[in-house]
Amino acid sequence: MRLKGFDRLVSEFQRLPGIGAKSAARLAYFLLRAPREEADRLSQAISESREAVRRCSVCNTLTETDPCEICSEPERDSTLLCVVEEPGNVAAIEKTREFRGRYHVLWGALSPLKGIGPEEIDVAGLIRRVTPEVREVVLATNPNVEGETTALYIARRLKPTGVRVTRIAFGLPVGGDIEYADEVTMARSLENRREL
Amino acid sequence: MRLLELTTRGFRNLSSDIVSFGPGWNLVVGENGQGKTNLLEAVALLCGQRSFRRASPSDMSADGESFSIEGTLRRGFSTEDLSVEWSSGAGRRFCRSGKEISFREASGLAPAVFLAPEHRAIVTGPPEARRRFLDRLLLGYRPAAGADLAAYDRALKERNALLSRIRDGGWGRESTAELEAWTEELARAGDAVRRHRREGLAAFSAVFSELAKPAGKEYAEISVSYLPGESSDLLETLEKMLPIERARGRTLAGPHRDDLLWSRHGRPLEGRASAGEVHRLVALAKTAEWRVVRDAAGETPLFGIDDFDAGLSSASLDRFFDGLPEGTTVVLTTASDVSRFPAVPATVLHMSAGRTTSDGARAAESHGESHGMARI
Ligand SMILES: [Zn+2]
Repeated sequence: MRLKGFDRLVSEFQRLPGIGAKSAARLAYFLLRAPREEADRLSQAISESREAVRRCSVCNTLTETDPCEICSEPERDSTLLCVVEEPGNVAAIEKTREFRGRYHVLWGALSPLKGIGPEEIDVAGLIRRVTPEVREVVLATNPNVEGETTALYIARRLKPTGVRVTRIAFGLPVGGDIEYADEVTMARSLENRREL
Repeated sequence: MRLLELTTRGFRNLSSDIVSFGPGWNLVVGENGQGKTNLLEAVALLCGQRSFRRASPSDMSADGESFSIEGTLRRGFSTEDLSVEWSSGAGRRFCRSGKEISFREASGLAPAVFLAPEHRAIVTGPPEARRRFLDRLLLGYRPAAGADLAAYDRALKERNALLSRIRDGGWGRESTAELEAWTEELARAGDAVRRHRREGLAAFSAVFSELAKPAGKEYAEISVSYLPGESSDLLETLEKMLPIERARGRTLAGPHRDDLLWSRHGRPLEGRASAGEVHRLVALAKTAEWRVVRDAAGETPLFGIDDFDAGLSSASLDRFFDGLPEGTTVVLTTASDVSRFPAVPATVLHMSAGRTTSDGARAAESHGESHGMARI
């Protein structure tokens, strides 16, 4: 017997990052076996968060207020701009408490294989934000091939502005993801950033 | 390192019985087509390597869908459970004690060198075969080079994807800076790969010439060098090539097109060496690889040789066994009758229709010594 509703749930879970067929089926079983309220709570959380959470109109990170909390903090150093690939990276850097500047979230990295060119990530918005007030742009894209190339690309595009462009120095293995860096490693890589 | 046991499931014609290896040399004997090479191939896969026969995983899988290989190894005083499984959906996955690890970790855990008839391609085959030989050596010599090899491979695929889009008319306003960024990243990764390869080759050459000297004048005068030479600058070359690359839609220079040149007296060896010389040269090269990996890994690598006595006279057989390492698992396959090696202290595994049966360490026992200790 095919359970259409079950199959649909499994295939929706499978679309999520990091979820394979087995995990998807396990999640679906869990929700169907749990009390009804459990499933309702999850679906409510999903739809309400979609309503409440949006992209910050300044820095692109996920936020419930626009501009986001960080963009609204007056004591933040507006001369320092840190560029990251994903909103999760902002949280990773914030945890170190080492960085007091502002952020710009690209939502991705260059990857011709995936059809991601400069227009698919928010480089244009970044260039608009690099006003004469900005003294330094810190490139904190991931230390893999795509992240490194994105950093090189942005450095090239920012060259005419004359702004100082730095790249964080990773104590991370090549091919890593800054989201998984511990606070100490992350703090050190910010501290040891080098000029591009 | 010692390989204690191996079990395969759904791998070629091999049965899923446990294969127990002797502590030193293991002779896998049997008629052709019984599965001797399959067993050695399974060992290679477990050690984080590709098939030395260049077989694809689906070809090695009995049903074309999946297979698994489990093994127990001993490193120093610790015992490790290592496994690799492949399925057409999920690809290759390595586990150490049930926990997933990368193929690089697996090959670091189970250092091994294999020599098969196919390896004559290192001398007589296309450049690709020589690059593969050097990169395999590199993973054993300097495991960290693996990350740079992977990064170069990735950057190459990305840049080729961009070049093919550009060739098909997708040259946008931002393309120049985008292509320049990919060129710079590719050159950076490519320089790292070339540096590793040249250093790995230097370490190899030192050991190789040491081994080649006693092999005779015709081998002592053989040298190997990396092409292109030190003076070539990848970024500069790529910039020069750009108009052709844009038309062809792919990257035309870099480590993926480099080569090794075997020469004797400064003249290319190819076409000047006899089949017998090539055979000996490849065996010397693989033995040199084994020593390079041993010295770098601090762990004696396993040595596997397919069809080891093909073309060897009785005199060269004696020499062969004299040069064979001890203190590690050595797996030798042969189609010869076991009576050809009466005094060799080895465990004999008979292979028939994918099943192995063991005589135990016949020669060693007959000498009244413990496993693997007796020497001919
Ligand atoms: Zn913001």
